Amino acid sequence: MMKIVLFAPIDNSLYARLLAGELLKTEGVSLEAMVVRSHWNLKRFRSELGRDGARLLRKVYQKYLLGDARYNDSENRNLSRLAEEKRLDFGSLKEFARLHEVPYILVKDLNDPAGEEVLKEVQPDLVVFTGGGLIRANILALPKLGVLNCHTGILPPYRGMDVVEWTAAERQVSTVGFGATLHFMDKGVDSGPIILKRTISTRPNDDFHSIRERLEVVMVELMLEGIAGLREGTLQPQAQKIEDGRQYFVMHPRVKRFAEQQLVDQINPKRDDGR
Amino acid sequence: MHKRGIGRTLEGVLASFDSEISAEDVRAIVEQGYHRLACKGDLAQGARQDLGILENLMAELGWRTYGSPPMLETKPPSAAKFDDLSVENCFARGILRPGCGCYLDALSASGKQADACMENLLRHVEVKRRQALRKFSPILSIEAQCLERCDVSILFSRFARRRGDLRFLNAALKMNEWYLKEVRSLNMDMVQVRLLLALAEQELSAGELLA
Repeated sequence: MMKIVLFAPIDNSLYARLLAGELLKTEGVSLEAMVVRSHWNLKRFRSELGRDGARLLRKVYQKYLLGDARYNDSENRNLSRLAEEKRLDFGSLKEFARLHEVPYILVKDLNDPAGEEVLKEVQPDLVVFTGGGLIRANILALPKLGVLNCHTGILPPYRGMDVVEWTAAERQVSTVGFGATLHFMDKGVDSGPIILKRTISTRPNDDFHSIRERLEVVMVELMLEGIAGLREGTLQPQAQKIEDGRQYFVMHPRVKRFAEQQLVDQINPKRDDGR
Repeated sequence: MHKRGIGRTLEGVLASFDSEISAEDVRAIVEQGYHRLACKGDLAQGARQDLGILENLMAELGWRTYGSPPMLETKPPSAAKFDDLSVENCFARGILRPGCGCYLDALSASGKQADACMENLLRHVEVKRRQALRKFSPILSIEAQCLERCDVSILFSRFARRRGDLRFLNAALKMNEWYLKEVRSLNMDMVQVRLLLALAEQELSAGELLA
């Protein structure tokens, strides 16, 4: 039996809830505990506001105010549709923990000693990370196989932040493409060994939001396939060469507007007759 | 429905938090700043030299200046100017050696020797954001700190053009926005003109890379 601990950024994360629900149904896997980061405290809010500005306020609005309703208008097969398909019937990880008697640990930061204690006690094979900041080396070292993360971009070329937008800005849509990469975390940013990656095709009316929505579904699929492959021994992590990629950072609005134009150009190439 | 209404209102509020300065605003800031400084009779020699460089950049951008910009010396700065600076010791553990901006600029213009250092510098600025470039060895005066930060922004804009690397322009755009308020409140001509230079370099790179 493969022992797994789930790390989640917030209690109502749909990505984390989907994975928790599916892991419970997966044979040969045991969800031993969930370590969940608590809502913002004043100190963390101030620190993140100073760093991210309006971007943080948007995140708060989308995650806390809108919640799952943010997917309602979309025609994409997004996380909300996937939740319907999978008949997800719980609104929070806390509720899930109560229903299925899975230990639930609420922490201010995923690096808190309480989280570390859980890992020492459970001795999991894997930690499934679904977001919530950087993980320190002492935590990364505890699970037998490692900490799994799914990155919303293609590795090794695109490490870091806003890589969907950077792929478009650098006109790499037809060469690198949009996709997700499942990898083990190490002390670098998205630089650990790669387990699986998958690209998605683009559609004429795509924008960054619609691409990200479809990628979120791919992330769930890759996580589950990766866990199964690691359990069965059919997948072997491949080390990345750091020189094969670059680290990207939060995109400035002017560069983002340029990326939006580049995306339109690349997914709707002009035809020879000028139309 | 109710949430969507709140959402629209909130989007409006959030937009007011965005501190983005448009290309038109940048041009207006540079032209007004240039006008004010160019009319000053008591500008120090160093600031006057930077103003000459600014006039050349403004002419290249097609912006309004007084008369023709002066001819500039094009010879690269001498190595002696940088004393014991080297790629290895100019930026380490978040501490910047004074002169790194100019030094790395000269070095990156002549080859790829500075690339690893540039990546470190970029990562430092992007991770520390407003708190970046605040540790200097040795400790500098406020004026010298501001000049060094502007030099790093200028370096990023030029490096972006040299390598066609948008990440560095992206960082310069953010840095100039962070520094604008802080620097404009200082009554120091040398710093003011260096900031205008940083903004003009940014626009030159934006014109080339975001067109």
